[in-house]
Amino acid sequence: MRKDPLLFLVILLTSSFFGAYVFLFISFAIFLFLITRERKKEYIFFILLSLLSFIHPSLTIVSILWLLLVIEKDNFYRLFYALGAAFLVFIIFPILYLLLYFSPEVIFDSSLLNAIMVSITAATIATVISLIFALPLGYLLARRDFPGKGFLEGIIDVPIVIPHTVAGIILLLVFGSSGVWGAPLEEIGIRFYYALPGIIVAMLFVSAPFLINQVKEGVKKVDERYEYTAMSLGAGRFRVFWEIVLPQIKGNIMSGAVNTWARGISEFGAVMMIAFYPMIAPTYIYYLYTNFGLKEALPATAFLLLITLAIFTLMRFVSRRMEND
Amino acid sequence: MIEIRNLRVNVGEFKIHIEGFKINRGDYLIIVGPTGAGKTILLETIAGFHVPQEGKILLNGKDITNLPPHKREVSMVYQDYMLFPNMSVEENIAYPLRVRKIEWKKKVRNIAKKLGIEDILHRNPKTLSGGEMQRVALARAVITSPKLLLLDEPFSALDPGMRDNARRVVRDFIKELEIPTIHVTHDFSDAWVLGNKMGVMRNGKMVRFGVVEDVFADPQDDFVAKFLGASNIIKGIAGEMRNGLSPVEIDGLIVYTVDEAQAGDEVLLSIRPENIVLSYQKPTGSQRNVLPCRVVDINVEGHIVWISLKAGNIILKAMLTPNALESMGIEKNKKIYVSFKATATKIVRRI
Repeated sequence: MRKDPLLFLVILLTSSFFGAYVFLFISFAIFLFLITRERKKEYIFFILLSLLSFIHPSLTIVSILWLLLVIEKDNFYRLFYALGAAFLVFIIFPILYLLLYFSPEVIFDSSLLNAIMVSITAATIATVISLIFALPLGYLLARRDFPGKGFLEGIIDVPIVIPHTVAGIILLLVFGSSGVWGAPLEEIGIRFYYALPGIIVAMLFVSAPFLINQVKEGVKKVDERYEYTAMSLGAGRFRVFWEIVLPQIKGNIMSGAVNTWARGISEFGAVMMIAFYPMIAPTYIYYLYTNFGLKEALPATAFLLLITLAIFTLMRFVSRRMEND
Repeated sequence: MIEIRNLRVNVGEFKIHIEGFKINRGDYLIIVGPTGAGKTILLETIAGFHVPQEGKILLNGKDITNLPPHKREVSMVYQDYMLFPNMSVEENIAYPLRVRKIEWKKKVRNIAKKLGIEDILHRNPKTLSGGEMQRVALARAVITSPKLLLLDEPFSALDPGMRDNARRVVRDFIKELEIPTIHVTHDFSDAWVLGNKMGVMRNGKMVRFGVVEDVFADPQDDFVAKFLGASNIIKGIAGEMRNGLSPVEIDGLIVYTVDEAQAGDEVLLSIRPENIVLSYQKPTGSQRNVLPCRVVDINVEGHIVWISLKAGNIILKAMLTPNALESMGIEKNKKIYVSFKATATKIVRRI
């Protein structure tokens, strides 16, 4: 394994915020890893410098920089590694820090579990609906050329760029109990305002563009002559799409679906405006925070974070496997 | 039998207009033409991928102009073969049968055996060599015995060394099946080796159509002549090979080549204009063809001068620089010797 400083930097920097003992422990582990591969006295100097963290936490930076200087000799890369690591720590540390507040009893908080179930259900339904529309739309945008195509492609991205409270108001206006579509649909029993369909519609609105764009990119990469060839061999259009095009873009579909699902499950603004109840997990966290304060919200938040990370990691793993097939 | 009548197709910036042609069962039509002539669009229109603005396509007397591609029974093979990457070789070949819900196992095995690809049936198409891909694509295209086979530059993705073999495979295989075939290419030797009919396309139009020999012997159109005449192409009869040289008789003249040929075979000789040397003195030297000629035409095209020379009944084209033209004092009707090495004379054989 090439010893690349980025991972070391991120681990060391992150650990430095958890106190001198944690930092020293991590430093020692990295020191052992390095010294067993390469006997250099600079590494011994690194472990000695890390003891400075006992004098003042900010002095950890001395040993971290020393390690960077030892491993990387090129000033260009030294700067880029330092900045890259700083950003990664900006993401990793807060996440880890929150997880410290996890406590197992939240597993028995039925409101939280309910909210998580609503979130997962709504995001999954929204992803399936996205797929139904993304496949034809993505295909058309990849295969056909027509005046105004650029404009329509821009429209698809609109839900991504507008503030989500604005998206929420728009949906409320149309799907609300007295909305243009909402009112007649409510008459036949489909209610959006303060109901699951409202959550699904909000998630669909903000997340479907990810899947549409992925399908479009995927289809663009499939040579149209595969379709021509299959048709000349006797397969009709639908069959060609199903048997020749879809298998070649399944990686794109999967990663688009993961993004759509993740975007759906993380949506709060638009959902809250059209359906505060039934609560989705983000709404429940917001409710805990506004009614009981930060401290009370922390364990549930940590649990939600864990669940989301676990599902997201699993989905990424599966979609990677499919892409590599 | 396939018949084209007054076909007009616009696809993006491409426009083709074919006044009409007809080929019969057992015919092998080669359409040559430069890149951008509209050859592929013509094939794709016959296959049904583009809807013509005007005109008719008749297959065995039936109007198929508005029939969707999958109902035409016209198989298309593209130059990069388009083997479906999500299927094995076997599944690729079986695809047309599976689409029609026909029992395929035995048929696939038989055709694979004929083409010598039975050992690669389980492989992923991505792992195949160019020659193997070509045979798989061919097997897949003909396994249902289509009414017409369309080949789009089927050899251009192969190494030049493999093309002869690939041509042989195509010829033996398709001749046996008697499927009428349209094959587009920019390689004139495909026409000589495989075709019995030949068309020449330029700027979306079929500028010449006829029996291969006729088109070669009398290109009629200046463009056709020029397109074919990147080389001098002359038809002759091969004689017995001796001392590594094959004599080829052309209208009473003998030209030697180092390429092998069977005595009595009808062959095409190709001599590149840049390999032709002009001189007033009769040149000496071994393995050199020397023909006394008369200058019949001089054409200046920028920095190149094309000289047409007549030896017996053959017209040869040579290439000179304007400087050489001036210093040699070449003029129309002057007598001059043309010479070219036997090694620069290539045989295009009918295999």
